[in-house]
Amino acid sequence: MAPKNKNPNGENVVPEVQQKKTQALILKSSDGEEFSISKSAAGLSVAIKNMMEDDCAGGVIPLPLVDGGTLARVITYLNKHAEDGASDEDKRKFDEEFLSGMEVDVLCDVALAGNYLDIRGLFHDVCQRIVNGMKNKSVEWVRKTFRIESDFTAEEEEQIKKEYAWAWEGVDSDAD
Amino acid sequence: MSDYLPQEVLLKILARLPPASLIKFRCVSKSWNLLISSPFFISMQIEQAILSKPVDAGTEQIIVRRYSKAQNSEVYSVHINNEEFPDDKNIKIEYPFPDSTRFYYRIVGSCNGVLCLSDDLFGQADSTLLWNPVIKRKVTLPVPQATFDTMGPYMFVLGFGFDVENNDYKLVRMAYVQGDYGYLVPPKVEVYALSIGNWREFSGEVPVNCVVEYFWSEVLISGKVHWVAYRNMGMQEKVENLIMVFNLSSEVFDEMQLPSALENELPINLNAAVLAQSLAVVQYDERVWSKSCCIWVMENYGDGESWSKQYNIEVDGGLGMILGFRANGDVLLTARNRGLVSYNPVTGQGRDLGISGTKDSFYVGTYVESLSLLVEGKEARERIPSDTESQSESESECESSVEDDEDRYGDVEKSEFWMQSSMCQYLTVLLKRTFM
Repeated sequence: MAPKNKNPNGENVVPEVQQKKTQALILKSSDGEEFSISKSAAGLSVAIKNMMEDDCAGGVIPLPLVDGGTLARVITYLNKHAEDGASDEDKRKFDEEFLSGMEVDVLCDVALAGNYLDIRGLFHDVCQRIVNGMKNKSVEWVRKTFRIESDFTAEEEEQIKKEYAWAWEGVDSDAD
Repeated sequence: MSDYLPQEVLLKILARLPPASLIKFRCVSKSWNLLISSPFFISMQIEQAILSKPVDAGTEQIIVRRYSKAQNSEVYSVHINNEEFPDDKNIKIEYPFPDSTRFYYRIVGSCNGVLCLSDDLFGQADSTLLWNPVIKRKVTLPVPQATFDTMGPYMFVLGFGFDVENNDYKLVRMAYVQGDYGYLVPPKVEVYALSIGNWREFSGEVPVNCVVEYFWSEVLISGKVHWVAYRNMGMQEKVENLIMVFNLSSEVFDEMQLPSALENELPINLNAAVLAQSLAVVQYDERVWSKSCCIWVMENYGDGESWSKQYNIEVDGGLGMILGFRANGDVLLTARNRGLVSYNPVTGQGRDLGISGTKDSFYVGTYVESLSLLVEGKEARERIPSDTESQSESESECESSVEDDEDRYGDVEKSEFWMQSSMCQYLTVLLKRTFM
């Protein structure tokens, strides 16, 4: 019926939009793993989209700042968000489940990747998740989790605490 | 995990934390402390806080202030301005200044989580404060040059906001000397910048406009302060109302036209307001005993031809003040003896919100939780006796102050009414001479 899927010679053609979608692209992680992803899903990353437009990659895009494990997670996210039938509600539910099982370490890696690949929705959600987990935690928990060593002397630390004693009210226990 | 979160990402994560957590996490390390206290980070956190609560998503925060007779104190609370407002999830704010003002402060404005308070509603004049309730910090402003001591009888008008270009909070203060036939123009203008910490005399061009004493209000829109003002060119000339503007970054005064229907209205009946980011003017039928008002909106900012009358509001039993607007189209106002009301201008119906206070003490402003004044401010907390000695002292103080409360302060509602009606009478006589 609809002649739009035929070329002037009457041959069937895939519409351009669909063509773009189904075309695949290879993303290569820092540790050499290769992942195939549709162009439409990859295009949700502003950074990858720019690389595709510059066509500098020849079908394989190396991502030297993202390891394989993290890239697999990011691709799962991108695939869901590029899915044709997925409603906003579906995506919201997916996001919730997708992030809920992740430890802070993993969340930080995904945040890094989301920032580097410029996937705004993902980056925002991951940051919010990290923040919700840490806002009521103790200073010691933050140091341990982010592997930071305090360079304050006990007196200096006490001074800051004294000045803002109220901010230490309602700190959760360090257990997750 | 990668052993190292680049600063760029760390900043973006930290900027999403609430201020109380950030205060705590200054103890993590010296570099975190420096980062969190830096002006760059503080601006970034404000930007993030504003972005994360867009007005149209119904997550915008507002701060409500009123004077509670039962508690003998101002009461502040933060709410989300959505359908459920006011729900029980509101955040009560610790009020640290119960003894420093007779009843309550004028709230000049609210910007980036900082409130500007001025103690000029009940006779006193020269005390001005900046206060960030969420991190419990305040800055007490020095006394300006133009005061009763240097000027004689006078009145002043303030404008408060954030200068985005210079990353600085600023106040502009216009002091008008009282003459035989009203206030003399131009006023003496001083500008306060938080970064400098002092008032300096304004050397730019000052318009020969006057603002109505006591009843004035200011609104901040994109770094500019707006007041309703009137121009008095001399005894023979026509007097006209207009909008006076002060740009906090460039420090330049400007003027904008009002709709012609308001140009010759008695200016005591006009107040500047802001409706969905647009400049608006409330036109009351009269002060003190008002029953109705109209709200005019400037649809294209800066275009004096784009004013239109948006609402007519009439409240059974009497209108107090128009306080703000909500995403659902309702108007927040006070009605006599009913406290805060959400009024639907289409149906003309008002819903009591169960937030009570004295008639003229209500204030509603936009609010974000920010780290502003972290570096410049001093602690502002409720007085907590530090040891037994001071406790017994403050107890005896308390007893005597309860006894004198009536004598010392008088009754808040009587004082409100007396101030409003006497100012209204005085100004009506003064302004009618020039306007009618």
